[in-house]
Amino acid sequence: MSTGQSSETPLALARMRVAGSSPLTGDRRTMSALEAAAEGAGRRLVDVTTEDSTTLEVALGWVEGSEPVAGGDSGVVRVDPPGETVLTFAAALRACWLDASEHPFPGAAAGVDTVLEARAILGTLSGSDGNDGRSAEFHRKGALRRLRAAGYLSGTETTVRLGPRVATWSEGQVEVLRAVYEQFPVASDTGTATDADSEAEPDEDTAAPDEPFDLEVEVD
Amino acid sequence: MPVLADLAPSRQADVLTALAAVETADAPVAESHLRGLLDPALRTVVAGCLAEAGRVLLKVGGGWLSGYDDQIRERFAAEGLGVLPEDDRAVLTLVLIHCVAIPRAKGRLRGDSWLNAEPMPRAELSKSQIPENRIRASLQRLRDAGILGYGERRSIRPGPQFLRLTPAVSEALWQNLILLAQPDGVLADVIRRHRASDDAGARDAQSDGPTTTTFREPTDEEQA
Repeated sequence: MSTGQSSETPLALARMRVAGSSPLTGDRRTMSALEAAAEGAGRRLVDVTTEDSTTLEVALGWVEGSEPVAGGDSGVVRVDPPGETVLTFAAALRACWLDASEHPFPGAAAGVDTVLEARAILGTLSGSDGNDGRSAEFHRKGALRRLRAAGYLSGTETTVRLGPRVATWSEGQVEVLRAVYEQFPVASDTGTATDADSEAEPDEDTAAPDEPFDLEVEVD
Repeated sequence: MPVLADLAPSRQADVLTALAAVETADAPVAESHLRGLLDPALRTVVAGCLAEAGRVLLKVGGGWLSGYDDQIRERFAAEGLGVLPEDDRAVLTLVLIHCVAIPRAKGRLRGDSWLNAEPMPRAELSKSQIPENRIRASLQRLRDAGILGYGERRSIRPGPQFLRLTPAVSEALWQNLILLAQPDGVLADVIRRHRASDDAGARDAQSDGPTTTTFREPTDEEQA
């Protein structure tokens, strides 16, 4: 550890990792100090404030071009997230991401029913209960809860919004998803960029566990 | 000591790639794969970047991963940040006792890694006093967080997050299991005495961090 290094910025950056994001209290100097610290840490400070936040919220993103990769000859092994989590997230992402030309975050609020309807378009996973609609819905609502806990989504039991993890996606990561935007499932009542509904309910504050299942978007 | 900004762009990229790898992998990252880990000078810069974010580089299982700095972790725990809910702590304790503590005590496992563990049948948890629905919820949360993993036939075992414990945390966790499982044993006595003197020493010297002592079984001479 270098001598004379303040312990305050490492604490602040570590706090963002534990909690998913951190409120930014203080002035412009605090923000500049944190940006500089993030740069020194090989990371990027990202504004994850939503219209419901009472203060600025910041999180740590990756430097453009140095996003995490896994598999192949990367030397990085990652446990695959459960299939239901991925498919449910795809439905939620599209429901909240109405304008593909923009970064998905913060995006729009979507009703849980809209997201579940979009998810249903993709069908059931092989090996899961086929025809029991209640069981499928139970698992998909469980997936929504897990996605909220991991910071990919926020919102309540009735409303879905994109979470701070999505806010940290670099432009390169967004571009990967933008290329397949038309393939995401869309419920019949999902809006478009021209009639995006900006109403939102207060976010439920859930602390994200330390690096849970990973939906990191891989940049080629 | 060089920092990230001092490096040429291609070396900076090596460091950033290594950083992303150790921060996100579920298994130790072999240094042979990444120049940022293979080259000691670059690895020092990786460690420096991690330190700027309250993290440390850990040598584990033939590779590298990152973890929280001990002092920062203690500060967060004192604030209640990142602390597991009570049910999850109870379920996790039961898993560690069955998967690690008992097999180690019986000589069936070496004490080198939390992931060197015997899988625990799901039914074993049902013997505890925790209601089934709460066990189910805890298991889901712990698995999602990577703290528990799946064994064969849906059995339970410690998960990849255990690879990210610093030596100090790993030692403290093991000591806690001993205090829980054999509170009247000789080893428990030694642990309590050392912790009492560590606390007194910390108050006297106003030291910044924990004192780590590695515990071993007392020799025959010491026991006599």
